[in-house]
Amino acid sequence: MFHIPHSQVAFLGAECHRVINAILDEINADADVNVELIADLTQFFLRDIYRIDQQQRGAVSLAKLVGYWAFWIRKLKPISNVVLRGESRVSNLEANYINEIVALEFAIELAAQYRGNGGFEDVVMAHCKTSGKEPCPSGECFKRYARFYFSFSDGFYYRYIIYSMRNRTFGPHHFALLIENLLFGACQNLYGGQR
Amino acid sequence: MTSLGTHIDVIAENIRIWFKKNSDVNKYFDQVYIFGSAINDDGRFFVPNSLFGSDIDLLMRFSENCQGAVERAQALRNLREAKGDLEARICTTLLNGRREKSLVSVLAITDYELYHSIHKGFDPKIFTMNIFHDALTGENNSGGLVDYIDFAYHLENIEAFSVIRACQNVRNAYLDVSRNGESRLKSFDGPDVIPKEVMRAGALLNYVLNSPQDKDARTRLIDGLTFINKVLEIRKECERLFEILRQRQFGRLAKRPCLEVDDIMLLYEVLFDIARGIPKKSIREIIDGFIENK
Repeated sequence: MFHIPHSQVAFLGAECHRVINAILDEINADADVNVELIADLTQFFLRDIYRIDQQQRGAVSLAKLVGYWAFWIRKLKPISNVVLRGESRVSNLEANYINEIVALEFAIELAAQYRGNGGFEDVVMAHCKTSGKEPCPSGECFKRYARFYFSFSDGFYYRYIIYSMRNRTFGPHHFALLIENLLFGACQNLYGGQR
Repeated sequence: MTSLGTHIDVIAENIRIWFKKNSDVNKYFDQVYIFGSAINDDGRFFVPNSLFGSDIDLLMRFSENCQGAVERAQALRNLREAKGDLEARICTTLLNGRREKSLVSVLAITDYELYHSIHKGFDPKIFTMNIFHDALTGENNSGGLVDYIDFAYHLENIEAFSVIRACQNVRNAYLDVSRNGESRLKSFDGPDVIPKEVMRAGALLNYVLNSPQDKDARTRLIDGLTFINKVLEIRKECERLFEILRQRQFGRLAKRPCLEVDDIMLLYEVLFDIARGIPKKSIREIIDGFIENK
């Protein structure tokens, strides 16, 4: 479809599929995942991130990487026919928002996984490392904080974001900003330990 | 004349035997591909013993343990010595010994050049669209050896890539020794300290690294020479080369040493390493790094 390396589309498509299935499993949901849409969204994501790379060579942020990828999940909606199995932290009503929920979890999961691998700009990590304090374990503090943020006040922020993702304007830059803010908020070392 | 299709098997078989036998070559190179007229259009236009004298084009990739200038220069020296044996083998089996000029043209290339489709003849698509026959495994890569060219990356790094291309060209000339022993790359004993092309390559690197605001620096040969002197001076492994340049700069010597072809090759490989260090990593490289680590 686009001028992008097909080897990367194949690999990242498979990776995306694997992570989506793991998230569905984790929230106790059975669903159909359309692999053609996964391939499509991977191509759109790569096209975007290559374009950004040309403008910001060597300085593409981790938040943008995962934000753009998650955006295309939210946009193309590869998940359908969701059925919750017994106990799930997702309600039946929220299950209608399964693509948005998975997209958000996907961004968190990927950001946590890729932190510390290097290659992408992560200003929080850079400052954390030079803060003179014990640097936090790369992905763990972020993931813990994100979970806390999304469960805060009975999931107030979570529901607000999921709703906006589906029913309001929600672009890849919104995603990127959200992740940047979560990365910053998660790092206790940056705030002089005042929290 | 050899019938269509069979010549490629003969060539590949000879390469396989030769490559396996030559540990001085196979410890520095890990892939050998046949490309060009011997393989395109089922070899219909491959006429090695005619007036036109088709070459056998080989792409040889430096192995991973051969990434520094000195190692690559050594690898090329070994290949240059061993290549005559390969040519003799192919000439005997394919042409009944009839051929004077060099038969095998080698494109010696690093993984980096291949990955970014940097080609001495300004044809990046050669690596994405041409047929490459793996001489060691017999496999045909009809869709090229890489699946992407970042044209913007080429433009961004035009000076660095230009130096890399120049080095690739010189490798090709260095390895081109006719059957009567005549080398296409000549030793240099001109009035300048080093060949003008090398100074030009030095000027391009100096422009990018030290004077990016000064557009005239791109072509200022004296800056190129100064840059090269500085580069060699701090490299222990280039002590001998630096001394040759130092003596060549001193006009009162009764006999100035000339730059031998091995020296010229090493000089280009040193510049290659500097050029290679200039481009920032692209997102494509970062993602491929992840894929490799997985």
